[in-house]
Amino acid sequence: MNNDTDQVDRVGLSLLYNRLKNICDEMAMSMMRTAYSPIFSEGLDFSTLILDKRGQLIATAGLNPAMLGASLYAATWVISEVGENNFNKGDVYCHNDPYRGGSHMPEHMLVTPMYIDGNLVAYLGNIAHLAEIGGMAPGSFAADATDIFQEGLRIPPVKLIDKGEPVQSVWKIMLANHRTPANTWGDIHAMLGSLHVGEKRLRLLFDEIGIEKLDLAFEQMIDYAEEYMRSEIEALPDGIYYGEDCMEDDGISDRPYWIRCRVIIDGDEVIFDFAESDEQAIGPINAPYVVTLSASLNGLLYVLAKGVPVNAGITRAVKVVAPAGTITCVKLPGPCVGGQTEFQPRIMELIQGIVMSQIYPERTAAASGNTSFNFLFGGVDPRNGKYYAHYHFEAMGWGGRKLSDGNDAQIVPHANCRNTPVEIFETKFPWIHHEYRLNDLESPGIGKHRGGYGIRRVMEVMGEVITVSALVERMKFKPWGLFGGSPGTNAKLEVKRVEDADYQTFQEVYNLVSPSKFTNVRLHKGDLVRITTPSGGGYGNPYERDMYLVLNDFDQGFLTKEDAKSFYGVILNIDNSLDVDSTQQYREEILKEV
Amino acid sequence: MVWVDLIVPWHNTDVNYCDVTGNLIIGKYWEFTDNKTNEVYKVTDPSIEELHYKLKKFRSQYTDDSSDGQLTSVTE
Repeated sequence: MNNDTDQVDRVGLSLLYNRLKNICDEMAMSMMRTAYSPIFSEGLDFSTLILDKRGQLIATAGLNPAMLGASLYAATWVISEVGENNFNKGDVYCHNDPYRGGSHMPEHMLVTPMYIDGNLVAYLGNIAHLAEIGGMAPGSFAADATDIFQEGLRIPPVKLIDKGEPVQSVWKIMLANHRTPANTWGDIHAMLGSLHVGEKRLRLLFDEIGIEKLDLAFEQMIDYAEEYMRSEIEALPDGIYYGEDCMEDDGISDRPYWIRCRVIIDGDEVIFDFAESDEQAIGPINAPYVVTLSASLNGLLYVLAKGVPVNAGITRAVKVVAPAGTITCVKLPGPCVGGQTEFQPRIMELIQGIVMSQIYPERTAAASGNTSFNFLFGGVDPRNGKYYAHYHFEAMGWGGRKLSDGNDAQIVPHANCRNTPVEIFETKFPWIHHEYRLNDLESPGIGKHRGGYGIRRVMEVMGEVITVSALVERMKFKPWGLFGGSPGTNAKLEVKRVEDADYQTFQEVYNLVSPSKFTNVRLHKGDLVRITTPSGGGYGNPYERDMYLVLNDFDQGFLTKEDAKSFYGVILNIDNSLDVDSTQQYREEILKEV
Repeated sequence: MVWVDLIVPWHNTDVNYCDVTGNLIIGKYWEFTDNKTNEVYKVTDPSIEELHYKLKKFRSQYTDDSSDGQLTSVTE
């Protein structure tokens, strides 16, 4: 620290920022360890936040980048709507309203003010995905909802805790409208506990640094993030760049919805213009403004600014134009639960891959499987007679990139969540697994660096009845490759009822509009569900792939000898060793023909 | 060009969107009149007025890049 002035020098700022991030991390650990639901404790589908007294984001644990837009804006809007003077010590506000800065309704934000000697000094907050919030489908992901009222209980900013005491009327409304109120009770208390942890730690920091100096340091951090972003953007060539991708359907009609984005680099600023995108969908794949903002920022951060502090400063050089009434900014009462999980990754990869590959090819990646593969279910557990509901997301393959293959079996890149282990899954819910493995039955997108593998999961229903819903993408359009890499593979969701001879898609069995989006299908004891998640696209010419990497894939059982030759031009000897000379000669011949 | 307080009764659940960006308007908005079309815009803050004119300039340079339903990036 520089003691000569009130300013903190750059080294001091860096140390301070890391301490603030550590506080956010500790808040996150507290939530993880005290929550009731696997989506918190295993999935880590939450973020923790420190905001300054103006409501500007200063630091976040950043567990879930998908929540970035809400982290930047939602608390500010809550404070603006409630009015700073209407907060009291010990108050906690709750809200989940996508029409008040939330991303989608399952994600609830808690915000509490922090006072020292009666003066407001900061706010603490967290955002977390509650596994069940009512609405027309257990797990609260109604894939055929046509308005937001079907998606669950919508909560505008309201006090959940008033000067340290629970506001019972609000709690009662919330608990009465959720299918698993005990989990809501436990998970929200995990969120409250996390705020307490954060306040304790932040108070120590204020005591150590001083209120005015730390507040000034907050401003400095924001200014630094802005400066950093501007310098990175300024290094890019000015121009107007275009990219497009689509959502394959909205669960209501069998048509794609197109997202069209112009990225305008103008000096040290960037504009994302989505005005040419399709109109908002009838079904729940629309994005509220903060989701499109979040996706745009994440797409940019993926490529630029690896060391930038993620705070309110990162938005100052960035403008996002998403006209209301388009799929990129849903208007009330449009449904939007899938916007956060399916639409956001589509925009993020559209920007980082399709657009930024025109500017910064070495920092971009081919498409990941790019779906959260939302699989929801609920019913009565025969082991204890209690009602349960769960929101499950699934891992898939990521896209190949300049220096490496895509990651295998990871949650979609914008969400950064974790897989739920089979043991936890089966302990909590009445399914039994027959299979859970990398899907090595299909090749991911081939390329100099291939895509990562998706997974295959086969589960048997153990309850008398389980009601399942799904909101998934990439069943019709494959994840794209880049620079000569081939596309990855599609997602599949299949069922084999007790009376059936083989697996069929849910669409075939239940006569659904969409193969990937449906609500409230009733499965019975002994029925099997097979989930196949998409693999990532490939990056670069497959004939340039390191032949030893191909050999390694063969040794791992991912490729046959025939695949090695036809996909990559690599020839293996009869003893399965690499025939280097023949491979080089064969590849040269192929490249000459091209 | 003026700040306008958004006076909304507490029981009103309407949502107000920025005419240029789509962002939410909470509490107050910046109102301006386009200097060519005389159209009135309600936006989140004065920087969006500047963005409005920038967008007009840039949008006139947009070319028809749409692949009309064929993803430009899919390589199959």
